[in-house]
Amino acid sequence: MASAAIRPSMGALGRISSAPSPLRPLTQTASLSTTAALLKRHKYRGARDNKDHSKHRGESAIRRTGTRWRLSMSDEPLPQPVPRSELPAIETDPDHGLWEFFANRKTVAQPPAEEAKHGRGWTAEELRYKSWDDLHRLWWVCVKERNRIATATWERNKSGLGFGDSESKNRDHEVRRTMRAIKHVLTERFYAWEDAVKLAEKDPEVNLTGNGPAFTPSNYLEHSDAASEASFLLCFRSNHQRPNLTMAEEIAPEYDVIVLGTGLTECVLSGVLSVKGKKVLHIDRNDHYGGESASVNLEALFKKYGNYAQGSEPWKQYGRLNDWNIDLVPKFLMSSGELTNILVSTDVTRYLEFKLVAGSYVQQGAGPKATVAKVPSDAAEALRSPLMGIFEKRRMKSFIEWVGQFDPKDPATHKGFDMSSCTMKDVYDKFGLEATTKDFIGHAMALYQTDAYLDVKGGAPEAIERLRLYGNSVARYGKSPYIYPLYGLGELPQGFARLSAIYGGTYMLNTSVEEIVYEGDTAVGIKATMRGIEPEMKFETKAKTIIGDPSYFPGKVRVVGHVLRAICILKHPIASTSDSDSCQIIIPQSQVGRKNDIYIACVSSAHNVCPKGYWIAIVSTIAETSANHHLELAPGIERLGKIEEQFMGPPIPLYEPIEDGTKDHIYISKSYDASSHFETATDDVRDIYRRLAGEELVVEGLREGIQVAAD
Amino acid sequence: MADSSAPKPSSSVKLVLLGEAAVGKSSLVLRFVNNDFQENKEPTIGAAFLTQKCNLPTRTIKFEIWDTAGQERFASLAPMYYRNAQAALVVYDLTKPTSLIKAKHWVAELQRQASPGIVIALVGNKLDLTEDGTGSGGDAEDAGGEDSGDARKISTEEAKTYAEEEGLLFFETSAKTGFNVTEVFTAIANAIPETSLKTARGPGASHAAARTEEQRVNLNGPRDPNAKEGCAC
Ligand SMILES: Nc1nc2c(ncn2[C@@H]2O[C@H](COP(=O)(O)OP(=O)(O)O)[C@@H](O)[C@H]2O)c(=O)[nH]1
Ligand SMILES: [Mg+2]
Repeated sequence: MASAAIRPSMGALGRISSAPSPLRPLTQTASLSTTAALLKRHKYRGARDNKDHSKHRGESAIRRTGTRWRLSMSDEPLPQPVPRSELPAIETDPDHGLWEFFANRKTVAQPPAEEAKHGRGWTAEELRYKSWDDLHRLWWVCVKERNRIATATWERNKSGLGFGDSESKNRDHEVRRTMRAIKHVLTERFYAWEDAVKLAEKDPEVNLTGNGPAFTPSNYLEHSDAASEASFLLCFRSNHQRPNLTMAEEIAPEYDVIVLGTGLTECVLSGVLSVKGKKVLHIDRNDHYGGESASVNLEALFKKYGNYAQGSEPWKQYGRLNDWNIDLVPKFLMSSGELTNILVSTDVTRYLEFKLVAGSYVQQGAGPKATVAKVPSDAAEALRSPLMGIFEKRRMKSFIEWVGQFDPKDPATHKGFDMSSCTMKDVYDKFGLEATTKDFIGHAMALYQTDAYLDVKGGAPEAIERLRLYGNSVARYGKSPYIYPLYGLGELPQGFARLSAIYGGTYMLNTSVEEIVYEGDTAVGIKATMRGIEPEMKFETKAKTIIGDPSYFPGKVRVVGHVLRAICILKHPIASTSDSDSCQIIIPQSQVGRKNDIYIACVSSAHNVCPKGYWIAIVSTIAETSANHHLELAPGIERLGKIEEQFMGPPIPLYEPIEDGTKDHIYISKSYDASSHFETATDDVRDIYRRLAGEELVVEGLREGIQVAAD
Repeated sequence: MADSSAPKPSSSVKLVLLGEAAVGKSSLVLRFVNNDFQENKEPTIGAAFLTQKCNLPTRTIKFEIWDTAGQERFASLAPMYYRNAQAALVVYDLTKPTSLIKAKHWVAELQRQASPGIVIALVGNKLDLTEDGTGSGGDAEDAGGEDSGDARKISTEEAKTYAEEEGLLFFETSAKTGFNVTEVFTAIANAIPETSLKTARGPGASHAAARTEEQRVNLNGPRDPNAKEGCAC
């Protein structure tokens, strides 16, 4: 313990040797002088050497002394400090405010796992309902939490722990989100107050001077008007404006193709054309992609259908708005279908993720006696199916096996039929299938919506082809023939739009087309305005080919029918579907006395289209009457059980172009029909492509040789 | 490429680029991936995304970098673009004040729409056009944008304060000289929380842990020969 006796500053004077007495540390300043000469004189180290070696150089002739170097130290032994151990413990206040800077007393920082345990920040929506006091309190809770996080971060850095930064950053992020939301809400309140004051100044019933009653109602109704306007302002202040953009870019004076509307058909075409090297300008009047084939959130859906009381906000009770992606058109992809082919060969699958639909079901019977059973997809499943009796199963099995080896080009597989003239009914009869079996084969597997196909001469190969598509699709992943993109069908057009953009396509949303410019009978360009920017941007551009959905060419399309659709929000899976997260149920027309089938398409949170615990079921059919449309959908809606919200508008018209576009160079797509899949939409894509390019669309290997993407 | 010698865990991270047109997003990626810069380069046709590995002491991060494909030009980026992104580079141009406003708009949009754990880096590009942009300083204490008469229009202080408020990583870079470019990506790689890396693969990775994988389908994969046996009905 020798060193304990030495004042720390002494270390600077000389290294401590193992001196016998720790109480005489000064003797160790050997580098300065010898012990004997300590008080007499010694040579200043920096002094010049005596060149003449005179011992007395520099000494005073009078006093015989030289410059004396004094040490600023004395010989006196130093008092010893009291050792730590003997000191009385320092009392700290257990309730000292500074403790609040730490999560707890034992640790300087929480472990990351602990730090990661936190909820999300408060949203402005939630905070709008809170009182001033609550907001005030919450603000200071946040401030304290941020201090605590900052302290922990400091401590982690100080001791170089090297972990937990991202966790604590996330935590901090949520806190700041809350604080931002508080500020947001307070600003809204301030605006609402400002506006209310302005209203009140004009209001004869309100007296702002402070003398007498502030409010003297003259008429009850007027008062409620003023109040609801104030709350209206409160709601809509929050729609902050987008910042302005300067649109330095120019739009080219001419494109090869202008596409109007970003529905799936248009986006697939635009993607394919861009890959093929065409210069495409793609425009949509909406501020989002997808048009009719978009997926929207619950608020947008309520607003589209308008089925809520003005001023109320029913979507608030259904969790986070962003978790909802509700399709407007109910469809699935056949997993061996044409759209899947296009997705794969264009590599758009890279942007999307798909999930298998859990099952495809068919209803037999009607009303309370109706049963719902899975559609058998292969011979083995047919044998287990409750849809048929034991003998019928055998007939079904041999029918399916025959379909499996059918080859339209090989008459040996045609069972003696002349495929150019026989009807599907003939084929069924040959296998001796019963009416109910024909029903589910034709409607739930070949996916015909009416019975018209039965009597078409030479229609058997098409029906068989449809059955094979169904069978191949089931065989691809098992369980069901359908797949569905996570986040809803609205992802599909977006994926193809990206494909087009990657190959040079130009995209403009929020842009309305004022005029199609013609030269003679032929369209040669458009005049349009891009909105949502200040100032609006008017432009004109040319193209030899214009593609668009029917809504852009109201004079060039005709109505071919009406679809009825009811979008229903459920909190449970549909009965008799083994609690599946998704399914299709087909109610064949004959079972419920109709001409057209009723389809139910159901998806759920498993597909990221709604929050956990919800299912979205869309019931649809083709309208057969001109009134009482809800009765037409009733057999489907009955299957759903309790419905939380139902959205059903007037019948939706289905359009198709009057002309094929060869004359005016305008190629118009068809509306999305009532079928349960996209096969007709891809037929339309092929059809339009053939008309405008004069050749068949070959998607296989579309990107080969052009693809630059690295992997 | 499948077997790297070290058994370091490797995970892919979807990184998206956001920001006004012509701020240098594509140039930053080109610099990071190919260590290259081209004046007035047209976007690469057909490049869906670029990938680049980033080696950290404890793991390898494979960035799957999505460029905007020019869809930002007329404010037409699809939400699908930044869906499930685990990291975002929000880029502005140091010499163009409106580009920071646009960048703030994107940050707000990401905070509203993107997955909660997303790591956002705010990047001021074209530092070579400013006086402190010789590539030496980097941490310019006070960039007096006004009086020095250089092209800088947005001070480091202003952007840095904003980045701190919003909890963003912040860098000033030059795609032209390459200054600070790899640093941005390394910092992002470092900031990605371990928890969101557990489930490696691609889009939706951050949510994937919660869901059952069995029903996901890989359209590009070979057809499943056993599919028929999979029926549980
Ligand atoms: N001086 C300078 N120019 C740059 C820098 N980065 C990009 N540019 C130029 O800015 C323009 C736009 O770049 P680009 O990468 O296409 O921007 P993007 O639209 O955001 O992808 C091009 O002319 C680039 O050469 C930089 O760091 N310094
Ligand atoms: Mg670019």
